[in-house]
Amino acid sequence: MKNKIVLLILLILCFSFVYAESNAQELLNTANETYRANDFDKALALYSELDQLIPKNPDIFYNIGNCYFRLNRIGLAILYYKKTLLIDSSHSLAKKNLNFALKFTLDKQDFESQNFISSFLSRIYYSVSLNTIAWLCLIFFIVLIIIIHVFMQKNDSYEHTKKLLLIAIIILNVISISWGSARYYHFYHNNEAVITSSKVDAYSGPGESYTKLFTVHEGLILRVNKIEATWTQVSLANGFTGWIRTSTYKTVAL
Amino acid sequence: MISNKSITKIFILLIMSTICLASLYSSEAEFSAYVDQSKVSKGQVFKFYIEISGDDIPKVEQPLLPNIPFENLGVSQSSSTSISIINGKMTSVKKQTYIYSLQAQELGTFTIPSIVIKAGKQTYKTNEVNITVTEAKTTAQSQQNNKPVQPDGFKASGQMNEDDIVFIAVPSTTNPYRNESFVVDYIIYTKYNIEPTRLGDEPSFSNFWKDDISGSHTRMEETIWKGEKYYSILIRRLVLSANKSGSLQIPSLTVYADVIFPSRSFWGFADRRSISLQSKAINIKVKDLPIVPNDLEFSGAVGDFKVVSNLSQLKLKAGEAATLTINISGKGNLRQTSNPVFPNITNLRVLGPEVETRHNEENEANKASRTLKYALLPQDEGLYNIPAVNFVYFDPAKKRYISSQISSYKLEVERGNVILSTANNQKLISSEGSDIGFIITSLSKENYSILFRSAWYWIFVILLILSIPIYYFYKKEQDKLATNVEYLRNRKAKRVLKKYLKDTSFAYKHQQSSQFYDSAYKGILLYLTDKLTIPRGSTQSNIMIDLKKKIEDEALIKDLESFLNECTEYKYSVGANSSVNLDKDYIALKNIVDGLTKLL
Repeated sequence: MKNKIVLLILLILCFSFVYAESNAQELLNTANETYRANDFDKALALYSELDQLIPKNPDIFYNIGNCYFRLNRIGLAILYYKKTLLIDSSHSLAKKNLNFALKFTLDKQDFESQNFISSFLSRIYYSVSLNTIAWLCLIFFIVLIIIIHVFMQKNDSYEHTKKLLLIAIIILNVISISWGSARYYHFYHNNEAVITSSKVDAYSGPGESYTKLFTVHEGLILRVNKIEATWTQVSLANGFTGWIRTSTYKTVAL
Repeated sequence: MISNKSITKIFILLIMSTICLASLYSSEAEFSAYVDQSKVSKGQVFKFYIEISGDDIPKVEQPLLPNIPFENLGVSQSSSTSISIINGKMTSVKKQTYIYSLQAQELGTFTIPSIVIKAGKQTYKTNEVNITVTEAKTTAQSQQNNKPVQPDGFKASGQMNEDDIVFIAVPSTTNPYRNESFVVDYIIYTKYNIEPTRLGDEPSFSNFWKDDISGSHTRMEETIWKGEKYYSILIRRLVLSANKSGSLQIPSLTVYADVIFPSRSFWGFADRRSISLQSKAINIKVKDLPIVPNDLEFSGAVGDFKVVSNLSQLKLKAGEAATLTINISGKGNLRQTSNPVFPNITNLRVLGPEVETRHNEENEANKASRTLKYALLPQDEGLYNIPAVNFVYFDPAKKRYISSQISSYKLEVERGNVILSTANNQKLISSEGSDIGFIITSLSKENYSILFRSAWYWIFVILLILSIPIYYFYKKEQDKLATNVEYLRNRKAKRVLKKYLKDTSFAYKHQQSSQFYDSAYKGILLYLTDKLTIPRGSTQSNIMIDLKKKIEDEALIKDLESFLNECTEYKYSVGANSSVNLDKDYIALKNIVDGLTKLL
């Protein structure tokens, strides 16, 4: 009797999983067809519905970004390309579209000011996704454990080679774990945001009574420092800091 | 001889005939009537203009006003000539204006009927003008409204009416087809001298492809709008094409401008007042394109197009190249149109096309042309048929799909002496435009989760870490056991039992005595032949002889012989079965195997 109940539960779970998957695939097909028919408003609604079914999927975020781009909402398009790259930093299509969408913003995004070395390191740092780094950490760790086991065999042959191998694999482990930890921290503590209003004024304090410092436009990527009620202190890539209304931007963090 | 008098007569005749001919060929004069404001309050004074303009305007007498419910306060005249030189050709336009100052007497909407003006033998008629007279405003305001119009036509100052400066969006159509291009002009109509300073925030043109073709300069032009004299400024000109059907809205636009009031004194400065103007959003209804017939391959073009093709040469040698040029021109959305595709022709390489697209040709918005140049490279001699290719577009005026055929050609190719490389003729493929990448139609990973957050990842890592102490203790235990002879012997015996007496152990477990003895007999003999390196299949007596030579434990040999005999006896006796015997014999067998593994 007990076994039958367990079997029934398993069957129900399997059925619901298969049903959800086929439902998602059907929804994706409909959304793709709607996008092809240039009905971007409807396609956006369908992709958003799909996002509820399969949350945090980089490909769905990418498609949502495309819909917003076609609807001339550059700020939201940039936001969704950034979300795609937050999950999968190696998403080449999202990288290409983000670079393209950034050409349509009124404010020049000052990323080029980085020097060659920091730009190179940044490119390597974001070259692979967080999950790829997790796999690398696991593989290096397995190799390390195997080498430790080999050392415990008390076999004196190839002693020098084994030591060199151990040192190399320890270094690789340290690098991959540090890399993974840093990327994990950035993933869950991402403070990037994108301006979604067409024009936003920044003030020296949390209110319009303060001195107006500068004006930013839709699509600008900035960093959120702190939030006070309906005002947020943000900083730009060029070092400018100011307070803007919280409703004028959206955060990249998931 | 011709007298001097006759010469003078002929000269006068010639001049007269020239004047007559000139008057015959001169363009006709234009008559128009308009007012400075079409809405006035009771008692307010407004201007009524009758304007005669043309290259050579006839002399007319002051037109008499018909019976109208307005009091005529007086009339004044003005005339002007404007000369313009275009491409070295000089043209002049003369203008004569009669300005009547009229005062509204009664409330209501009135029409100043068309006025008949006689010029020589010809009669001309002006257009009708409508005036609405409303209740008088406050005294101060009406006084301000009554201020005279500036000599240059602009209002000088005073209370601005909402109709004095108007900013509107004028679409060329409000019922286009999907993907049909149409022009939208954002125009200011003003009675004041204004100077646009900047545009407001760019509105979202969602659901439209937009092409901004506004020029860099804004020009003020005198115009008649809704029966009144205004100055118009074209602020922005867009070419739009809707990318979906249904009710759509062309968004409103904001423009900031300075209204310039001239100084009241000679030494004073002009007075400027900043204003912002917002046009009304325009609702349009976009029709969907009809279903494309199955036999047509629609290019996506909507408009009116003309397709012309040309092949540079019809005869050439193998290795040489001919150029097929296709020109598509007309009004429509050439930007979103796909190029015609040629089918593959054996031994004919088709390179390209090299595309050149020109927009807004001849200063006409929405007019475009695209030239496609294909390089045809025959690889061998022969007659090549270049088939006719269709360019299918939708014509909104004719409301149907039109297939415009690109002519077919026959290319005759002779044997060439040298096969020429095309490397020098090849050109880099130039990008005509760029766009975002297409959507992803199938998801690479459906359920995306962060590995660092998954439980199994860390369970696996913990297991890996735990494997080190587990292996350490296991290794230590193994090392310890390696020194224990008894343990090693037992292990060896177990292996023998496992290898040679597998069936015996199985038969014992299932209490199958016949199988037990049979397999035990065979297993022991097999083990001994292998250990003593004698051929398999040797008899029991031969094996025992060899065994006795190798080991000296007589007790063991005796036990072995008795066990083997017991097995043989069981084999040949009927019904001799007892589970007690089986247990006892299994223990005996284990002891024998123990002894043998120890000594062999």
